[in-house]
Amino acid sequence: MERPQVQYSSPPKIELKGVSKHFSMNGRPLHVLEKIDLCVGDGDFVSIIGPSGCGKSTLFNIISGLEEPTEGTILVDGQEMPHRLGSVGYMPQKDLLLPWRTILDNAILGLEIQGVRKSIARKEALRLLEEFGLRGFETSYPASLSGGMKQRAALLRTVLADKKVMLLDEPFGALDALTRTSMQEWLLRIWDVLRKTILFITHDVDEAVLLSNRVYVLTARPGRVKLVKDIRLPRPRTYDMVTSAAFVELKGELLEAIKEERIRALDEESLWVARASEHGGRKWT
Amino acid sequence: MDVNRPPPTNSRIDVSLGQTRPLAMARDWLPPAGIILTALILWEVVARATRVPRWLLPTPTDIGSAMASSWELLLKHTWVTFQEVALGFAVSLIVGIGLALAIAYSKVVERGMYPFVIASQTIPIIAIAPLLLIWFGYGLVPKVIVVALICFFPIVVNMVDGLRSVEPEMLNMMRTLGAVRWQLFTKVQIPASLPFLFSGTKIAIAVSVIGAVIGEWVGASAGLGYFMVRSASQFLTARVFAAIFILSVMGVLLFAAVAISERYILPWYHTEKRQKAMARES
Repeated sequence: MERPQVQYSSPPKIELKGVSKHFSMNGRPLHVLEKIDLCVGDGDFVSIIGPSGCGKSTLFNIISGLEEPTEGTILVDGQEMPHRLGSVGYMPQKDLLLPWRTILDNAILGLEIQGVRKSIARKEALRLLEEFGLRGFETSYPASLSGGMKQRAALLRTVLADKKVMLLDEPFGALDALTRTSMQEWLLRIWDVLRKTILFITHDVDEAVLLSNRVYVLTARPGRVKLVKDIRLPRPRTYDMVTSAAFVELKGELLEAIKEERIRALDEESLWVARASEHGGRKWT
Repeated sequence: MDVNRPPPTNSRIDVSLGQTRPLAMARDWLPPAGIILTALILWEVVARATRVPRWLLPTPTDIGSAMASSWELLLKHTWVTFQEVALGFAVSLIVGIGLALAIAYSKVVERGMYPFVIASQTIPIIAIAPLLLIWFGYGLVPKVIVVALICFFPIVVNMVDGLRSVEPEMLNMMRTLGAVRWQLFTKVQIPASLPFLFSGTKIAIAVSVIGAVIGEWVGASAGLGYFMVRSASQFLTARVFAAIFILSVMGVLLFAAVAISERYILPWYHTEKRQKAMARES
């Protein structure tokens, strides 16, 4: 079964039009994002890959409303939203669970902030605990959980907050390879059940192809959209697909695009280091 | 595919230390007990062998018999000192926490108050104790004030640090969940500051007894500090030692009470510490 790639009948859930972000670094302008156009449909799964320092995290900060773009507009459900903060779910790479709260009480944080009664919020969280592989751990503190479980708890917190869109910033980046694979398969299942709109950042091309309907490749700084690729692999997907011919071909195409940017990013970085030492300043990281 | 099946996970981390409880207790308590016992025996033997006059250096058995013979008197004075410590500490806890919250929440309060909080520590307490005597007399109040003045500084400074210890990423995550300023404060900053508050409280409780004794030395009609001054002037040295012994026991017990309440109030912190300790040992 293939899902429609972009639903043109209804406005896209999130649309970025010509979004740019410039900072000033030691009086020198620093262009982090340059005219980004991006579109995520309702219930879509879209990934962004790019070399480190391409401004992916800045992009997420802008979409979530933590920062404002220098230029361009962000449309949510076809509407401009100047006060987006709190309407877009954001799951950073670190789990950022509150260590003094049990897993259950961490999960309900978003609902609690919205003013939902704790008892009601807990009931809702308990309903999903099984699917998130956290049954039996509701009264545990984060310190006694494994890395994969903490990430799932953080994802449950994002899901329960029930935002229009979920931004996932390399959620599996810090996990070991085996755990990551099982987490990816699990996320595919969960996404199928929950039908949430997901925008996903990753360094991992396999992960992007396996999970997404569409992949955006960003350039090295300043971050521009270098390539947009629709992933027309059948669903439901499993990890076995990574060796299929169609998968390998898509992966090759994306890798080629990223490789060019990685080299450019490296060159740029050495240029920065050279400039910084020239001025006796600190290395820009 | 079965959606309800969670992916395989690492099993729950075993939290037991892999040791039986009496054995672990023996490991913790035997070394200090041994050191104390050896020191006491050495003291007794040396003091008897060298025939130092008793009023100059009483032996541990002299001190023990002094305690036994004047236990009623000691109990009365201990109760007075304990009241001073408990009240002064309670005042410093309430004022200290309130001040720390105000300083962390408001930049204006921080700029206005923080210099005075620090300056208050540069004033020698011994120097203002006579003033308190003039203003408040020989009763409980001046001692409570001295104890509170000594205790409140570590409480304020540690709690302010704790309230500021939260990573900006954590606060940003809370903002994306829709949290506003006071929610960040009550749901993240205050709970995050509690381990720091307990660190400050442990320092405060350890010095609180000193504050009470200073207050009593300057002028009092009861309390262990007063008892020490009176005994010393009559060369009842064994009684002075007895008072010192009771004061240090009081300090240790108060410290233990704070440490135990930390375990009950912050069970998560205890879990975290134990995990870290295990990681270090393995």
